[in-house]
Amino acid sequence: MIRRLVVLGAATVAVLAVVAAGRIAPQEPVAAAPYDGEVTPAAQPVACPGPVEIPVGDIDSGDPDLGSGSDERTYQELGDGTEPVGAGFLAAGDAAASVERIGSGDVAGLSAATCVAPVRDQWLVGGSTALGSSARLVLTNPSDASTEATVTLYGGLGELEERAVVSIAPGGQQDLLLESVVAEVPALAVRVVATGAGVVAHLQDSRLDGFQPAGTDWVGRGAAPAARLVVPGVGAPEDSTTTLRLMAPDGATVNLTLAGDDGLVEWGGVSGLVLEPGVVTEVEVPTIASGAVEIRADAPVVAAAMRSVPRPVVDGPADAVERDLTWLPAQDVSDRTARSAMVTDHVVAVTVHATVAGEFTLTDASGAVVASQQMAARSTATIPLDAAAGTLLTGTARFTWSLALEDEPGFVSTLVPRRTDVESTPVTVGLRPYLGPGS
Amino acid sequence: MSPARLLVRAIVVSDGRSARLRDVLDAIAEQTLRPDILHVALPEGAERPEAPDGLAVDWRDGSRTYSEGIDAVLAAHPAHPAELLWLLHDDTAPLPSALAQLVATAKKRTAAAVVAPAHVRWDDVSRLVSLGVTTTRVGARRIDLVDEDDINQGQYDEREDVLAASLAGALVRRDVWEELGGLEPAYRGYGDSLHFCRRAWRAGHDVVIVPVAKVRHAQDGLTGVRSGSSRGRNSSYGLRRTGEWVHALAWAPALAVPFLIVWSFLSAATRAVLRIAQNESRMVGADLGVPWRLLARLPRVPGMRGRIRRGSTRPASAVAPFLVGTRAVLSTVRSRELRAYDRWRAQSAPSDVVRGELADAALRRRGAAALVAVLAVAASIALHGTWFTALVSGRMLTGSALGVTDVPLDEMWERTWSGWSATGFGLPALDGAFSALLLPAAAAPGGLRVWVGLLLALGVALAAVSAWFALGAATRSVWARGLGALAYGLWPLHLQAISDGRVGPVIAHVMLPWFAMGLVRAAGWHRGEAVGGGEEFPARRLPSPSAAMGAAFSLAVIVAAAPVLLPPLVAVVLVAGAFAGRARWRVWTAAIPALVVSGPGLVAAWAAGPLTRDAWAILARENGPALASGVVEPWRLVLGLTDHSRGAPGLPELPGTLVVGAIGLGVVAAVILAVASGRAPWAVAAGLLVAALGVGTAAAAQATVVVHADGAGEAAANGFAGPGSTLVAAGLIGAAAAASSRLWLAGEGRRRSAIRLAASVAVTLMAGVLVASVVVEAWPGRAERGDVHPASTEALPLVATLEQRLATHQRVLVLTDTDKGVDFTVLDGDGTTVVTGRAQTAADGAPLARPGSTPATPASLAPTVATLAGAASGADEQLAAWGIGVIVATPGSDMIASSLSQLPELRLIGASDVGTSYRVARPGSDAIVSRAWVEGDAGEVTVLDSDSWSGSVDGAGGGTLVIAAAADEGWTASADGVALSPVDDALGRAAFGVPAGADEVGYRYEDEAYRWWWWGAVVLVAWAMIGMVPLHDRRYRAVRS
Repeated sequence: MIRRLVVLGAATVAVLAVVAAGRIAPQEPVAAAPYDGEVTPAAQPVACPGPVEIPVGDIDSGDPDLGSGSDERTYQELGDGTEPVGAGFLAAGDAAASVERIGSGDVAGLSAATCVAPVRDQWLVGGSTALGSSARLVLTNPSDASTEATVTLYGGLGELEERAVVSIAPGGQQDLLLESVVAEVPALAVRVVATGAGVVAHLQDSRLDGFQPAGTDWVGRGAAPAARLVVPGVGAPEDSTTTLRLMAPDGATVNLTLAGDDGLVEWGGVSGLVLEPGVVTEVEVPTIASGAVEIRADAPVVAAAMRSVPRPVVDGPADAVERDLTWLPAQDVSDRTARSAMVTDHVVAVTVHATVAGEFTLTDASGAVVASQQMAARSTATIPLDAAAGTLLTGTARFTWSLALEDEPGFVSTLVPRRTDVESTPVTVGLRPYLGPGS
Repeated sequence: MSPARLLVRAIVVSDGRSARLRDVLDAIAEQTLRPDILHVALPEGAERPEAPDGLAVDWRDGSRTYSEGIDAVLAAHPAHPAELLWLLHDDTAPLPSALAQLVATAKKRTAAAVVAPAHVRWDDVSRLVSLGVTTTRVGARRIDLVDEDDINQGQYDEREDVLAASLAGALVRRDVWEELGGLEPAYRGYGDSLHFCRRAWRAGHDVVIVPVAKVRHAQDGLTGVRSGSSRGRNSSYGLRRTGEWVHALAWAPALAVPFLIVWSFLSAATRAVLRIAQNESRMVGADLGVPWRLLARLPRVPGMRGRIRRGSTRPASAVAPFLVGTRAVLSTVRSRELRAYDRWRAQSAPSDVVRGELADAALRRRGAAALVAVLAVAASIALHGTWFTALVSGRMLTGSALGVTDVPLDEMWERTWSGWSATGFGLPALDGAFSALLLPAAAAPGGLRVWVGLLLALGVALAAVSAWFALGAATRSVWARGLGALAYGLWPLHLQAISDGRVGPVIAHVMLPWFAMGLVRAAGWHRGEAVGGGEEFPARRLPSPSAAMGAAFSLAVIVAAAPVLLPPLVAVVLVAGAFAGRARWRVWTAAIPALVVSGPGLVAAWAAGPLTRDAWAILARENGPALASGVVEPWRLVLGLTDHSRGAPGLPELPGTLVVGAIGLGVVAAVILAVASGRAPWAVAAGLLVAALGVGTAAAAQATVVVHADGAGEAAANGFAGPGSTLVAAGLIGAAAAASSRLWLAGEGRRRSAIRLAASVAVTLMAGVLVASVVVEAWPGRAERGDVHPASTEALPLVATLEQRLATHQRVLVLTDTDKGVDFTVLDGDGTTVVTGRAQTAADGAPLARPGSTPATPASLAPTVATLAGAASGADEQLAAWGIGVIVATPGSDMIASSLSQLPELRLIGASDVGTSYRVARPGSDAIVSRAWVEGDAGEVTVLDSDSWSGSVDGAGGGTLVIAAAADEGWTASADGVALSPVDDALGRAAFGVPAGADEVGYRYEDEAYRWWWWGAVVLVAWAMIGMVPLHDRRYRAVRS
């Protein structure tokens, strides 16, 4: 009997233990928080790509009208302490720029490039590899270490499978013809991710319309993906066209507004524009004398606008037109940092967009006011500018602006100011065991 | 000299503590030839027994020692010519004819100085106690010429001349006695007869034994009766053994004396080890005390040697024929062992029928054991076959919890010896048990890589085989043993522990059956082999001291591997001891080594506030690989399930659980049957209680965070339910097996048939479940339970590991790109090493060994790493300050590699498919980056040669000694033998001020508390290891005097 009780008692204790054990409240292990730091890379020189190249090469047919090249080429490099790198140059100062005027041939027009410092991750919205178009990506490495750039392309069908990986030696420059990577993409957005200190990327967008040049310009670096962007300087003469190119890496819904000198301008059918992830979308911008496109999205987007200006053909079929184009990269309005640009030849005006009301001033390196304008909120202005080439201009923070270049007979280009402070980048540092390769 | 009439003067000396004096006097009174004079020397005040009628007794108050008593009598009575002394103790009673025969021989052998009788047992005169003694040529071992308790059949009656005999009851010529100066006091009563007789031979006399003359000898002094000791013969062992060595010193050539003293120490140490193996722990002290007693008597040796020299007329070669050589000693020892064995066999000899049954059972058992082993190995191969080929091809097992396993021996040794955990910037370790546990594996051929790999790969087989042996104590049914063993080996939480690389719980699971078996056998509760109609052989099982030591050793291993099992298993030992009757102390000692091994943890738990959750977290700490795991319900723990087992492939929740938990369900069903049957109630109840303890332990462990982020990369983790679940498995399987014992013979008639049928069905079902479980676990599409996998032993580039191994002992910073930045770790060895054991930190990051302190950890390097990631300069200063001489960008981490490439202060030293390495230079100095250095006031740097916990240099000069390790009170440094005082360091490193002109500067980590615990654990575990050798416990043959 006692034996029976012993066994039953033990069994009861065991069952009670199971029941009681379920009542122990568990503690949660606390994971150590990773360190979120900002790193400020060493200041790197700015770099420019150099002269434009003729996509088909300089073919001399004997007839200046039929040849691809041109005898009228003026190329200007402006900046402090310039030194050559590849075909381009480096400059030590806050801003530098190059401008090139080509009077005739396939790449006739004004092509201006703002020199920029290398970054690891950059977006260039612009370019086309459709028939008659050439997109030449120029990667310049101004740093002392070699870098490896991965070029990812986005088109009308989203992110393209074709990628290119380019190694650039320290102080070197590499060209990559995007049509050799993927052809027949009429609207491109390019992402360049580089290792190390990064790389400077410029994209030469050259177009032909049959035998007639349809414009050439440098596509400069646009703002990193952001929810609020402004493209200033979309104002153009009556017969020119302006196209806004948008892309959201993860998809977004975008509201577009057009600001003019007197405030917002009616622009129908562009509210609630849905961008599929990675799909490059183009929107026609109404013609306006002076204006800017404001972009508000619910997720980060990249954008740029292309202005195409026609001109009569000097010596050709009667109905043919020649054109020149200029790319206007979107600028981020939220960082509230002053930007600087270098004045080159052919600069005629500064186009400004004000997010909030205030006075916009442009000062030169000595602090003297070169231009100034009182502006209302969400309005634009085009201020004629008369400054000597080589002047370093700094604009008031919180305004987005760019320098407009024009020349006879209808050549246009744009210089976009750059932030001169060294941007710090966030980096998350975690402690993690290491067991060997592949573990 | 042949006088017609010899005078016999009988002298009985008593210390007043023997109750046999009256019997002695009676025996003298009954002599056929009475002594002429009888003196009885008693201490003053001692009670005088009544003398027998007609016996004239001259009572004397003498001193307590035997020799002084005789001297007092002789001093009072001048010598007669031809006088013989008959020397009697108060426990020697001569048989009636003894004196007559002795005197007859004395008359015949005129040259005899000593005529000695045979000693027989007090209570049985047919049994011999002593019949002459001799010694070895060296003299340090006394050899009895007859075996004790040998039956006297007259076989020794021819014996006459012997080297020596006991003087008790012997006739000694008074002139020789006085010539030799009586007994030698240096012997303190043990060995003085041998000495006297040997001197008599050398002085030109003979020593004769008279086998037919018998004296009953109670050996009161030898057996400790006089001193009131309860230890019997052991009580006088130390004195006897010392006497033997004194004899050796007295008779050896003078030049040999120093060697003999050294030898005595070696001999004592060897005998002490043997004592431990024989589980005669109290004799260890006696043996170890012998050489010290000998040293104390050393001053008397020159005098003895002088007396020998002066008194000798015969050369030493005269007695040489009596001395025995090595061969005789060996044969004496062997015959002693054989006799003991014979006695044991005679006591427990089975009949021929039983012998036949035992042979059948042994055959069945061996066959089943082989089958279980083969099946278990097959299951191991089915589950982790790829690991074997990887191990053979030189790869190692690794995993996020396991870390790298190719850890060199010196790293393991430094960790356990120094008490300094080199992980990260180093931390004071709570204990070194885990690395000590794996040290033998690291020292064995193949190293830790092979043995940890085999432990995990063969984890199932090892556990099954262990359980097979342990279950033999619960049941003799090979079916129940086999199934139980395989169920234990395939216990799902054990499989989880193997796949996670949790080395500690795997070792605990393998060792627990051995502990259980040791405990059961220590208490004598194990089953005998089933013979005949239900009897067991042997019918009465004796508690085994060796088994208790085995349990102690196993428990020490278990708690080193899985400390969480200490509280439940100590509770089991305590309760088992309480029920173990006379074996209780043996059983209770099984807990002692484990408690000392866990000592630092127990102290830390006490300091954290006993009975708090913090204390429990310390008790439940995990020493080795640990991993956060999902908390599961207790009923899953009973079935051995983890949160990984929530589903089998293609099966939803509940059916999946049933499939994976089938073994557990089978075991639980068996236990329910066992409870219902009422068989083996105590064993079943004990098993259930152990299982209940296990459930509680597992649930409490998994609900507690036992590993805290230590700032060196280790992630926090809650306790693993595995060790507790191991207890559940052991308890349930043990209970079921115990109840199954002799089930085949249970009941009668139809009932027996029904039981046999049901048992056969159950066995078949369980076998099916086991096979199905292996198939489910090894199913190709099933997700792995854990992430242990084979990998190359080369985690870091060779250039980096070389720098770690050099005397500068640089650390390596490893950087890996992530989506948002970079991950880093600081390594002291080739990859993150966990198997050396965790330093143990509290939730606030303070090491448990130093509560309240805030040591510097690699987490403080995060901003520096961010600087590197941004390719900004200035990181080298911090890195060099912490002895980081090499930075490795892991393969595929191109972003960080290119950042590093841009930094002018880093130099690319190699790129390979295991990473890109950069060297860090010491800013402002040409000296190489090192673990420790002396920084002069003018900025000059002298690098020390270091390992992970100590270092030194010659020609240091003055300045500051900086050790690139977290500051701790355990760091000590000295310059030219003078201790240095610590100085504050802004980074939290250990630093010391070095006086100007210092030459030899050294530092080391010294933790006194750790050292004491370490040695305590080593001594006790070694003791248990020697003690668990199953040597038969045989009484040492007494040396009688």
